[in-house]
Amino acid sequence: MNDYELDQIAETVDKILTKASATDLREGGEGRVNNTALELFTQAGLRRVAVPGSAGGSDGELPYLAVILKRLGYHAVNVPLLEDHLAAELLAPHMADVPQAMMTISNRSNLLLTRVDGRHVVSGSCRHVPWSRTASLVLALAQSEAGQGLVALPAAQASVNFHHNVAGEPRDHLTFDAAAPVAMVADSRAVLELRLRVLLYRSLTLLGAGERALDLTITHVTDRTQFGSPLSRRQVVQHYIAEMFGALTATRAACNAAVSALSGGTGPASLAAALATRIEADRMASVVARLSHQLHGAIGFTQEHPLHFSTTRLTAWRQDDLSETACALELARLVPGLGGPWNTLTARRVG
Amino acid sequence: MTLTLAAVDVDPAMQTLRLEVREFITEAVITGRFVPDCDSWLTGWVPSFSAELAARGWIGMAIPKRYGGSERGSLERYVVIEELLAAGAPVAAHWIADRQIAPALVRFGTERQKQQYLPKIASAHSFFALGMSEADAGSDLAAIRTKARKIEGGWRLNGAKLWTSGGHHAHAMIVLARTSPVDVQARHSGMSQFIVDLPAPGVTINPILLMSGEHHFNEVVFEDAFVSDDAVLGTIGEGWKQVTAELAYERSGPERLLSTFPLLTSMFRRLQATADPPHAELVALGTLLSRARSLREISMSIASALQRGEAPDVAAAVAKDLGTRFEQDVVDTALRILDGVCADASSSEELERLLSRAALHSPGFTLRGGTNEILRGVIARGMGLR
Repeated sequence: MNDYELDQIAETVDKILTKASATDLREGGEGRVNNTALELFTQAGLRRVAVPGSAGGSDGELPYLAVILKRLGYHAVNVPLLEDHLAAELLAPHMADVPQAMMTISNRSNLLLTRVDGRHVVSGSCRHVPWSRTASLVLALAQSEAGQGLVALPAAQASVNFHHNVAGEPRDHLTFDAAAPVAMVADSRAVLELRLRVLLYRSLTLLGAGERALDLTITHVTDRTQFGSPLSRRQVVQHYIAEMFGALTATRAACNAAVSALSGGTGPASLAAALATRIEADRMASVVARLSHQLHGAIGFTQEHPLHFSTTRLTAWRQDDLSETACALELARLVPGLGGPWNTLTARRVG
Repeated sequence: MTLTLAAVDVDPAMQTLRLEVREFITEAVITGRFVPDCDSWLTGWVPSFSAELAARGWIGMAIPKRYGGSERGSLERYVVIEELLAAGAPVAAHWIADRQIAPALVRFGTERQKQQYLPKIASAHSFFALGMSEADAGSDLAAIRTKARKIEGGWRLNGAKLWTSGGHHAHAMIVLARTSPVDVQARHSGMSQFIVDLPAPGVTINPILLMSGEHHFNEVVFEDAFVSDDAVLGTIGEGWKQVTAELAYERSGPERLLSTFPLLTSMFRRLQATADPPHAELVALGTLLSRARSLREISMSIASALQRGEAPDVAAAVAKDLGTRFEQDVVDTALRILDGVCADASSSEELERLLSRAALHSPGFTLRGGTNEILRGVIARGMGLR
């Protein structure tokens, strides 16, 4: 893996998404998956890029996936690749034949795994499950007598209430009644993997969405003239842009470090890295959504202007998985075990 | 602007060095050789401690061996200084010489200047001050009025420098002066740098006390002060270029984010000793730590870029803008969340003492080394907005 390969991937992803977004009004939007993009990703071997080949993946490394997620966030095209990838990579070590059909995850579930007449059944509910209506399986956190684990449930066995986030992406509520899991992972490490990976992956898509919002804003303030000169000539406008750029730089740095930490293994140090990254991404989302709208004026919050594709995602994705405050609380609680704040920052990136 | 991840935390040799420094610091604290403090790179002027660091080869790490340095490179230097800063160790005496003067001498100095100053900097026998700002030249450095007039064998300096940290202790200072009149078309031309040994005839150093009552700042007045031709640093007329060449180092170092880190550590320690720490306090500290983590990554990435010979000026401006605001956020968070703790310089409680120092020094964080407003202009220019 090197920078050249990563640039190549980014270029391919950009091509796919640029091509696909032209069809977006027809295929995507209104909570539908952009199938053109999805097919192109599959053909290019970029759909499950960092999943083992045995589970239908491309055997790539985490930095490949990081680039793809960031560009997906940038283009705001409806491809639920994050959720499918995460489910596939978590199931790969535990399941002989991981389905090729799209999968999703639920990390805010209230599910109970029990044994009835010698067979395992799962009952309970999952709120705001991303893209479940187009998924074959839902990989969800479930509670059992033995503790917390993961269960893979056929989406078809759920009764579904349709819901959407503010970006129009499906976030359905699922209810399971004695559903039969097709796979179970009674492993605290897998639970931790799900929790920390989704934080990093979502941070990367947030980063992409923020980068797009900044690009649109720079174009707008350069083109738009008021009082006889472009908005970009005003010092306060320049400072707002610098503020957005700073927040994005901090998020990018956090993401880079977390990719490196997670590549080194799973443990308290990589959990701390993922939590810290998500805090940065959420704060960036707040700054960038607010200032990009402020600098766009009225046109920015109309349907006809593309800014809303990015800013509604910045707002929606912040709310997935774990709140910024919950991340900060958990991070602070990890600090004593990691040897204090300075050690938490400087510990060698293993686990 | 893209930044490549720094090698600092993944290189085992760096980790060995880090642990060595940490062990030294722990021992120094236990034996009372220093008491951790905030903003210790401005306040902690302790020549004997600087000498201890020099003896271990931890000053002048970027200076070539033939001039008395340890030539270990800027990334190893980064590890050493960030450990010292995070621990609040007194590094002020050698700080400017080690960070700024040594690289400038290596780059622009004559052979004679290198031999005269670099070995003494590396052995902590020569401490420097910087003479840049003046009464009418703060953010607008090109407005300086201190003049150097050419005479037989040297130059006569006239004018006054302001906010000169440590000038009353320093063995020498570098003075930026006009060597030709202002050209309104090219305001940044016609400036030159001079090395002035201290004390010297015609140079008067007047204290300017900080609002805390401490003496760090000075006014340095030059009245027909003579410096020989040997004292010219670099090229006459190139002063501005020479000064700005070092700005990325000055703006992106760990001292731009760690000035209040001892306070953050102390707040964590207090919470850890509390049976059931309030959620709000944990959340506030967790949020600060996440920011510290990003800032450190940015700062280290810039150190790596500089090592590779790049000039990441925009990134450095971002580092300083965000880093110094973080330093202030630590203070503000302490003031906001700590109930029953009062900033008190004479307190026996570490936390109260650190908070007092940090609170009184905090306004300077976003001013020194280029105000944050100027830096945001640099960022905007880098993005093509001006």
